[in-house]
Amino acid sequence: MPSIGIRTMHKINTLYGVLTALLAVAFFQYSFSFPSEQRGLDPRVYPRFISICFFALSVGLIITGIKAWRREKEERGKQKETTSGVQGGSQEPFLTPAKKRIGSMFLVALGYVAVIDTVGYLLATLPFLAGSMVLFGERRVWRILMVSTVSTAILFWLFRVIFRVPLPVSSLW
Amino acid sequence: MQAAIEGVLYVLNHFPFLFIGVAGGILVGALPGLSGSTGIILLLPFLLYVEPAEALIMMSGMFCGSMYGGSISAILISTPGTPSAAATVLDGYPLAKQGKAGKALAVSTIASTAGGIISTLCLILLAPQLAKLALKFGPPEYFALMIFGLTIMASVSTSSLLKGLLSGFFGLMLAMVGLDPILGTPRFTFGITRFLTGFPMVPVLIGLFAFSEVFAQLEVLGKKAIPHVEKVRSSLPTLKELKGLINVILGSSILGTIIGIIPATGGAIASFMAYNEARRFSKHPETFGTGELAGIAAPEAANNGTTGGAMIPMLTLGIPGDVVTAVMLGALLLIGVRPGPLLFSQTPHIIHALFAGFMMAQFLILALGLITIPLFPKVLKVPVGILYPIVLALCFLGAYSYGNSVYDMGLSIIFGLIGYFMKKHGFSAAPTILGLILGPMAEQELGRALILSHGDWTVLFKSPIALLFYALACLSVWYSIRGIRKAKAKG
Repeated sequence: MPSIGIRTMHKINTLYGVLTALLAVAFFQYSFSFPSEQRGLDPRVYPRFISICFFALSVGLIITGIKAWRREKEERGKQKETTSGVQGGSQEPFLTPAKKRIGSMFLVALGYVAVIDTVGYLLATLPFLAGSMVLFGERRVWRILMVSTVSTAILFWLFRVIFRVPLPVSSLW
Repeated sequence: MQAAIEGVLYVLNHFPFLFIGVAGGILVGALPGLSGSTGIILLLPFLLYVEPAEALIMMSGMFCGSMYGGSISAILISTPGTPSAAATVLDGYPLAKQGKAGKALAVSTIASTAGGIISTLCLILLAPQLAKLALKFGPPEYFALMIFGLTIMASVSTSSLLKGLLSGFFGLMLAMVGLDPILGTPRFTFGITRFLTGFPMVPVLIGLFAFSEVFAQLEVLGKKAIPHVEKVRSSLPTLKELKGLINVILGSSILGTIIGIIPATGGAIASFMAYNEARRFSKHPETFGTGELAGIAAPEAANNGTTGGAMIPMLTLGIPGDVVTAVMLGALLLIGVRPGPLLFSQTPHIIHALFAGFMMAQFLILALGLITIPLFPKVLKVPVGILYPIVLALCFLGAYSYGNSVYDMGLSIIFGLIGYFMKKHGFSAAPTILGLILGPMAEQELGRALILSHGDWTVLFKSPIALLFYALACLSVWYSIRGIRKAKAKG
């Protein structure tokens, strides 16, 4: 997987820290709704312990992220003073082809899950496989048609006929 | 003896399962991007419909096969198929560039088989003894054991201990969603009825390990251009060469087995340690890195040596030794097999079949490895445009088959995206799985211990066995911190 710039990583760490800290707070808050039990383990104890640890770790990530970010900023400031006029590397566009591919794959997969109950396994899987192949760079139409048709048929036969898995069938007809 | 014969006969009667496991394992191990854990996840849709013993045989074959398969791409394209084969690149690829890829692959096959056989023997001899000891454990000992198991989260963390622990605690948080294991009251459902059953293991496993990998592959699509060894001729090492490798193979196999038994270590550590030791004891250490046969034999014998070793704590105590056994533990729980001492006393036929399957898997690796050497370059040429869409379709089937639910398919894709971002930003998914598997067990054992002691918390620290596990847990955390600091110091 391509490496991320150190600056971006510090920001991302801080962002992850904030998100996970919020999750920990939400879980801790929710634990107040649990019943109290005197015998054995109180149902609130374990969830609260885990939430507190999760929160502490999140805060740790935020602190290290901010610290590293500041250090980086100071170093860049010093570098700017010594090499004034020299510009840094060009900025990468937000929507890179890789991000577009991943986003499209996610949407195609979500679409597949959304329609499979309505159109059935066979009719949903065939275009899903074809679409995935296109996203993975396959351009030869005959190969896309052949692989998606044959693999859908094999998987359907294996799971529906051999393993007797009740794969979704179309509710349209 | 009779049990061993019954085990062998069982495996022979169910040979296709072993064959699918081993051949599939070699394939996923050889393909960079797929690993043993992904292989086991791809087996999930099938495992749900076979007998527990057959499932175990298949998974064992997949585990051993993938460990060996990693060396194929390490030798042919200088890219280890699995992290455990990283040390094999050092001498395997230089030898392939000299036109001796066939010999390098043959040495890797022989060393892997030897490592696997020695570790299987240790598994057969040690596991039943440890299981007998574990029968004496009560809830306090089990709770301490789970705490020790959870400290593995720190060890399987990649570069940052903080991120590894955060990933692990994320798994523990996820595991709390659903019903309280003792009182049965709903918790952390946030009003969503679907959350009452918690997050099912299958979609989470598939998402975090398989879908995330598919997304990661989409990111690097078209970027790799590695010099590829196009043709490989079968070429066995001479008897003289093999004689020179015997000590290296034996020593590395034993080292690998010992490292495998220690939870949270695994093949990557074992192979580098064995490589270093082989170089240290070599009469010509300067030849290492230039295509030395011992430089291939040592890491391969060691990483396959870890397979049997890693199964010992997993089968007897329910503590996974590495990432693959963690996924395997999850898969076993799904098919209704709960690893632990009771598995040995209540269902010995499953254990005997597993032992026989593990041993026969090694010979199958030897046969398949040596026969199919000329085919390996073709395997590595499987177009990603065909491979990953089929992986996706299988993953979706796996997610669906578990509960015949489209909701699980959706959940797997959501966790796939979470797993992808975790991987991209330095958070490992392995600690999350450990937290998800071991968290509820730890909570249950803690609850049981406190009910039996009428709420007396000191019961957790009264047993010497429990204290030993706490000490091991501290040692494990210290070892992980030291390892990460060392790695950082090296840059």
